[in-house]
Amino acid sequence: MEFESKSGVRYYFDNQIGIAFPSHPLIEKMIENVPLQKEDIIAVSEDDYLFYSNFVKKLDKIRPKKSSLHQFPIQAEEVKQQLLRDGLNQMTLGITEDCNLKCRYCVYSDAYTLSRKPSKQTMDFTTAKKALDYYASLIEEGRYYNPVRKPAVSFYGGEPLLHFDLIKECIHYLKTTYPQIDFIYSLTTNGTLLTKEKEEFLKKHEFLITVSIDGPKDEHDRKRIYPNGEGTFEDVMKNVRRFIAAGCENCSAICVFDWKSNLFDLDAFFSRTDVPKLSIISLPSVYGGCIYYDQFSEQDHKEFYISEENAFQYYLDHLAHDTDKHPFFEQLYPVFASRLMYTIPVLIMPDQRLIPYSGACIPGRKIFVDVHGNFHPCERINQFFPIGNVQTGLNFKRVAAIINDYNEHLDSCKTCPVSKACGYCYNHFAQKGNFDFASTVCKNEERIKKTELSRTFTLGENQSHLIDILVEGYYSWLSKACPIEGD
Amino acid sequence: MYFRLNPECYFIKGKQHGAIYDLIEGDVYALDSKESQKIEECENNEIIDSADPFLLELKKRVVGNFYDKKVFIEKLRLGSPIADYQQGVPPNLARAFLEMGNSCDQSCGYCGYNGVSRSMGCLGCNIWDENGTPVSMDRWKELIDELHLLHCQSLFIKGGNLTKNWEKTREILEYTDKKFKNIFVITHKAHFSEEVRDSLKNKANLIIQIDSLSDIDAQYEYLLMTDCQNANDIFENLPNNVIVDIISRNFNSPQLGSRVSPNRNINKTNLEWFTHNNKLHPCLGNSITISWSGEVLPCPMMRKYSLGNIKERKLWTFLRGTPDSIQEYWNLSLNKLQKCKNCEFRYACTDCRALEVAMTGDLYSKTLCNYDPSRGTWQQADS
Repeated sequence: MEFESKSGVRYYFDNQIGIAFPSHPLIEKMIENVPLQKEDIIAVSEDDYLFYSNFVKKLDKIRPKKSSLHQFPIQAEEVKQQLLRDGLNQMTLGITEDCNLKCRYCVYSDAYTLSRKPSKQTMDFTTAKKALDYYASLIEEGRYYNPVRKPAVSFYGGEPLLHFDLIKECIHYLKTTYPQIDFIYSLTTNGTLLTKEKEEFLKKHEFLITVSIDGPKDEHDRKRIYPNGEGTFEDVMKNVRRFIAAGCENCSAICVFDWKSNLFDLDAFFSRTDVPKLSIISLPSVYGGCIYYDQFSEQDHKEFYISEENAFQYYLDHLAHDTDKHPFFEQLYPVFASRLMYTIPVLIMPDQRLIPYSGACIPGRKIFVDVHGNFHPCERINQFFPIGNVQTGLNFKRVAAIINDYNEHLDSCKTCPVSKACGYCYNHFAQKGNFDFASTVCKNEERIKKTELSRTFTLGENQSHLIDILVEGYYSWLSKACPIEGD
Repeated sequence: MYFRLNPECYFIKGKQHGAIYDLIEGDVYALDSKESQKIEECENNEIIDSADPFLLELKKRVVGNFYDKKVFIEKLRLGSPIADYQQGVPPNLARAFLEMGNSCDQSCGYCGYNGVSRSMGCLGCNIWDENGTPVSMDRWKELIDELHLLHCQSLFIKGGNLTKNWEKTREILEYTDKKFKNIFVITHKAHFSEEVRDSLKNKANLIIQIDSLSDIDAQYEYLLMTDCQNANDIFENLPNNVIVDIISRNFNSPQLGSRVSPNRNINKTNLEWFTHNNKLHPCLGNSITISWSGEVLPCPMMRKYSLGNIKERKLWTFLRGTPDSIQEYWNLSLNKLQKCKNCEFRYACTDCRALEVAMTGDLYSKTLCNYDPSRGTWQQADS
């Protein structure tokens, strides 16, 4: 697939190899086996013709052979072996379905028709203990397969700090029962309930804390509100400032923005020293029966697109000589670009993957436990894809069935020209226990990827080493501050 | 006009000079300081002369091309650079040397028993003058299972004259039962027999240690023992299935370095090798040795570098990635050696830590090399 950078340089994305390179109509025809016409050849110099044809021949030497693709269907035992070696990275306990906020874009709000809704239900210690015992048993078994695994236990909600006593009980239990396992602890919170007592505890046990902060007061309070409609910014920032002042370095921010967000204000806000470092930014998900975007007009979308372009141009113009940091723009552009280029490894061996297309993991790489003790692939996917429970453990047959069903629904990936740059997973296709076909979901994917690649390569043209430098800096920090999100 | 190297071609800078690695064709081009500076400018998207003969030559060799505008070159990689920062990526155990014996009726002068330095001693049968009790058959079988769970790809079964207790080797080979991609059994030619050949059929490949090139059979791999004086002659017209093991009692001259030819085509490289050498030691990386008495070593020839004994611990405890684990040796990439880190050939080169340690006692030394990267000059090899 071809695309152009903003400077007009033409590139070709080679989907078999997984990289893009400066192109020429001749290269494209040669790769796609389109017969060359006489006028194609006389239009270029002999030197160029030789270069193009030899370059394509070189690439042909490393094209993955189709026969090496995994033979389906996948069996439960394969899944188990793969997870013991390269999964089980994190168990997330969804310890409460309750929340003291009513954020407008929350995946558990009315903005998402397919997700569960908030309730007063909480996890009890018996359920948590069973889940942790099972996870510890998997970790012990998995050591023979992967001795360097860093298992993580995370607490999620609702708002997990509403059920802080359970967090304390779980940590005490893990520390006394499994002292031989070096767990990483993490917590995702809205930040409103971070009291000094909780702060001391989290600090003592070296929790990695992700706080949802959506930017300056107006921006944050537009979306992150109490049930009475009041904004939460002042309460969150008061707690977070104290937290940072107390020397809690393991605190990062996650920011959700939307089509009404002022990107320049966000960048200025996250440059402040009293605001935690940004770990992730994202738009509200458009999947899971999302109706959040119904509130916006076509004009809002257009204006957002223009402001995003302006911000990109500003960032480009200031790349070379601006010593100021632009944390939000760095996330929005180079870090995003690095994900696009590097999340799906270039030249990955297809036969090593049970899922040949998209960026989906094997369910069980992370285990999300709901308040009732049911296991789910992660906190993002809806509740219709359970993969086991605390009583019987992971159901590897069920995991294999989900993968097989998912693979069958990736009907257009074989012919998709950007499948190697795809980061989609189950969540993008999930309905009520079944998947939509890729041919339905990914209709605009080629156009979207063209835009993303164009921006990525425009960045690279301006600062050729920038993306790699930022990848190194960002991911090296992320692996310490927020290893799970980095995953 | 701009000039950029292709995605598959990397410029690696040394202290004085640089080199271009073509990871598809495998060529490594040594550049002088002027050429290196020019490529560095090109890679920084600086404007260049489109009639430059050096750059025109590179285009002819399909290493790079001229562009009217600044372009971005996404480099060809094996795997994702993000993976380097992910915690808990399982170790890639490529090969394990299992010394299943430590006795022999031969008395080869070059045997490990005599403490002689060899360039490829790891592939020799060797016995050792060591104390200890042998690993039991039950523990060897457990180890086979543990190696399997760790996805170890290749086993090298060795240890003196294995035919003295051939039943033991056969039992282990039966037990491996297609669990590994490759299994090699190392034996001296003196111990090779039809029985050995027949019992290995469809189970393992043979590496036969030999003293001369006579009676070579195409279906086996050979390890040819030779001394320094004859080494260069032997490398000419060497059959593909023969590896040369150079012996020296006084290995203090750079003969081995002379195998790196001082012209523009250095060792061949490829994407896998380049990726491996960026992070790992060229030889120790992804490798482990279990001695006849259960000592866990980074290499069969590095006897003093034991990490512990598998009679007391499970194998996975040696691969935890902590400072006392095998990864300490795996991660000893040439970037970490004072001399090599300044060398533009560091990602194409080979290295034998066992030999360097035998010669200098220093794990980080580098004496077996004819190239001085700080000056960018080659020294004449002794012959």
